[in-house]
Amino acid sequence: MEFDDSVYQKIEAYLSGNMSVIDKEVFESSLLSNAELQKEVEIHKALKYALNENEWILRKNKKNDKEIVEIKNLRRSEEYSKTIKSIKEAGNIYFEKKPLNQSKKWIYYCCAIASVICIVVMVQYFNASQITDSLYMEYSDWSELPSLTTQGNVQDNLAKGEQLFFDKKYKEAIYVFSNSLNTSDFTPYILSYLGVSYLEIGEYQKSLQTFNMLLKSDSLDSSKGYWYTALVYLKMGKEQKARDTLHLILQNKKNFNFLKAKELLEKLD
Amino acid sequence: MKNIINVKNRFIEGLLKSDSVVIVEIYERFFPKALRFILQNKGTHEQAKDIFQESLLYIVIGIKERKLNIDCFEAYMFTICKNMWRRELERQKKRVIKDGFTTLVDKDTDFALFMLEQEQLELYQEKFALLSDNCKEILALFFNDVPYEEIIKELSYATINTARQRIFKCKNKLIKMIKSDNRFY
Repeated sequence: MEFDDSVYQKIEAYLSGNMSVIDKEVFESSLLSNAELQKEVEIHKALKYALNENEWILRKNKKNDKEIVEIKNLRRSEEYSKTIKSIKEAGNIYFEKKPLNQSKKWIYYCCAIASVICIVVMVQYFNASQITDSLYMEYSDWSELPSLTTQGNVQDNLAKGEQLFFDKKYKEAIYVFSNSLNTSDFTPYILSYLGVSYLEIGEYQKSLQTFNMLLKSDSLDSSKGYWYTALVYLKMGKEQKARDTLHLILQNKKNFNFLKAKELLEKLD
Repeated sequence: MKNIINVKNRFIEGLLKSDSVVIVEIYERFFPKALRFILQNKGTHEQAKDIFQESLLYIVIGIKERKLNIDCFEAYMFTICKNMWRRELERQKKRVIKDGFTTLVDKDTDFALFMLEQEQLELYQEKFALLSDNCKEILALFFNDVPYEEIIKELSYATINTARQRIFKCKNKLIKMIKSDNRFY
């Protein structure tokens, strides 16, 4: 069934909440008696959310809905139970919780007893490091780094370094960036990439030294050094040092990520 | 019936074969981005892990059973994580308002519901992409709640009425295309 412009206008007014109380009542009662119209409203609503990505339309969970049952059965089948298992096992490896071999269970029991003792001692430290780790993940957005290939004069080796960096080939990126230091106009940018590369491979001291160089550089970007230093401390789990560095950012509103630093400090407190 | 799969991407290939080395690499390369998105949107590390694993399963079942075709693994993987999380937020909101959607459902049902919702969304987006540039432009503004006054300025329409008629025609065309597709329910 096709509807005309006036019905579309009513649907639009209804969905955007621009209908008078009386009109809304009339429209809703016609919705109850007209399944086609109901369906049309649903499409309009779904279309809007599909295309503006603000909300999500939930499908009604009707009993015996064939399509739901079909997918449910697939997910429960032996084949996909195996898939779920392998996805989770790979996850365990990634999250460093490798599954146990049956024959080594006794080792597990001994370790478990030792772990309980350790956990009691370390719980406070662990909680703190989990928090700093989560915050590090939340705030370490490297896509914010300035692109080295769009700064006018494209320098091939810098573009190559940037590509290596985003391919997560940090060691190679460090090699390229270290060789480009002091020979380029982009030194503050290079220092940012270099410091983050060291950070990503766990070379924290080198990372801190690099950001210190950025801080001492006479450039508009030097205050970025504070922000990145704070992130290094977060990744290291050194909460107090991260806090101290964030406080340095708050001393001047013009400092890089002033608002984010404030927000991060509140979360740390 | 299983789909005939022609795999060009090594991540997809590894995932379909349950190759643990490749799946670990998928975690290494793509989990941090999903985690960041979920943490920034009121989620936790544990929830991010769950969403990520469900997304991988979605891709496997989608390709093997539901004719899913992926152009770019990284982008698609992130879209699924993002949408699963958007859905979770919507459910949490509904749970607060208590509007009848709130009954607790098992993980399998939840997965099935998401899959059907996501497929409809992809159908809508696919049909939208087939519209003329002019239709896409005006409907994008319309669906993002840009007032008519601004739409006519932005796209140089003479009157609100002309813009309204254009929107009506474009929307009608889009809905027709959607309804005539057999994936539409």
